[in-house]
Amino acid sequence: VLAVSAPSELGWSGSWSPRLSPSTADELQRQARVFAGDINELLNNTVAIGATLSAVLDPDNGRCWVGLGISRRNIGIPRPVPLAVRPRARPTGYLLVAHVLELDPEGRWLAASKSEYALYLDKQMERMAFHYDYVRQPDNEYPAAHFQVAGGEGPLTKRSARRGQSKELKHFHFPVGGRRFRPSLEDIVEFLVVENLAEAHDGWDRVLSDHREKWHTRQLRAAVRREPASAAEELADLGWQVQAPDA
Amino acid sequence: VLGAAGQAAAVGLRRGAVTEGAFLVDVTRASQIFKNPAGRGVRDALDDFGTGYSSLSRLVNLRPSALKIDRSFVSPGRPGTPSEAMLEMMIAIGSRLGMDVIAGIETPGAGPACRLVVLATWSQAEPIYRELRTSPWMPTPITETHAPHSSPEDPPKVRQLQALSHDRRKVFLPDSTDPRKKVSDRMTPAEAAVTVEIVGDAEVQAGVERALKSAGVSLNELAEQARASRFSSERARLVWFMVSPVVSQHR
Repeated sequence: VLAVSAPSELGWSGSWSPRLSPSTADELQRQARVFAGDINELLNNTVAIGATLSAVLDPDNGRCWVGLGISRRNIGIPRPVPLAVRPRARPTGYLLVAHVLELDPEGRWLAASKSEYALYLDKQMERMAFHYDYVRQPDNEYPAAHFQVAGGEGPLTKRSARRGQSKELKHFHFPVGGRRFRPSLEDIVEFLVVENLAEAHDGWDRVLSDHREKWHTRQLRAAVRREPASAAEELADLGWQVQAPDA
Repeated sequence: VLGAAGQAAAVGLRRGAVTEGAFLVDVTRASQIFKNPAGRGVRDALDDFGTGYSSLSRLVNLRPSALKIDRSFVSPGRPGTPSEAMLEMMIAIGSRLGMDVIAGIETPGAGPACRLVVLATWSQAEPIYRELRTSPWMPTPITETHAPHSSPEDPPKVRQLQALSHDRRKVFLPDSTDPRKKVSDRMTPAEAAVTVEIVGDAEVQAGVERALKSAGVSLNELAEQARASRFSSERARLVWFMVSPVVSQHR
């Protein structure tokens, strides 16, 4: 993963993680397919129609790109999903949903090394309204999970100008929950509907609730894997008998 | 294909609320017939049912094993129209007569109300097949590549099917429990609709270079912008998001 202290010496790197075994590569492919299928299902039953995310897998380096319009010829520019629930309706906005995935250190579970959820006002993605970013290993000093929003002059911009660092609102990185507890795509979809920024299919809230539950379970399981001692302690407090694997 | 379970699915489709279970049945059946029509009992099909010469009397006289509804009855976004009522009736007739009912398909833009699983007779499959490539409900992605054992004389669709079975990386995944069974058979339609392409180092590098070119920046410029979190354009920001995992420092 990149460290950007000497930008003049950057180059393309073929390998930054170990080559995956065929079975591990297949597992990554399977999980990426399920992951993208879940997003398709969520979006197409809430704020979109016919969104079909695709994936490009680089098994030699354990990476997988997922997004709309992603292909072997285009791994760099995903397309946004039009926010419309009727075939000929004019989209109320364009939601970019893009991920770079890999397997976790154990090689068993899918992990996002990056995620990007952005709302644009145009299909060309020139007018950004806001974006939620997650970068597991940030390229700069800003939070791994953060939120940026476009806007005019206000208290924050004035204050930063007074402190000699003039910057627009969109350049502020609002922290949002860190690696584990960052907002989910479900949260962004809910925001779009509740704030009347997107129309929704009938029954969207039920779909959202189901998907959100899956997300929470997945994140919780991941948290337990990273902090098994804390999880065991909590379970023991609740009366469970927990035994360490090497005990 | 709307067979025995077809009527329920059709009613669901009309209301735009098909259950996943209903779709799974249909997708599997469609997929099976597509791959082996004769082996699945589809001897012949009455094309374009509902229009022109494809009338009710021909249905009685010919007793085909499958009925292909003319695509004009499966147009998108018109709930409650006469076409929709006709569609429902034709599905009922075919099911009652024990036929496979084959419906046209609409592209994803048509919306969930019209995501009928589609199957065509062999003679007329090609144009619909092309549409299937973009359907979220297509059981397996279609590739343009051809298998080595294809003959140039083979019909295009046969070549495509051969390619499907050959190009494992694009279409099939190995099944750890039963190598003879495709993973695609176990997928939900939403998963099966996801195209996964496999790339090597050279393609990744070419992809990175294309992306940089489209953003009009060099790798070093982009890295500098990332360090400051001030990108020259939204496109540059996106390109960095996508390609930064594959760049590193060379000292």
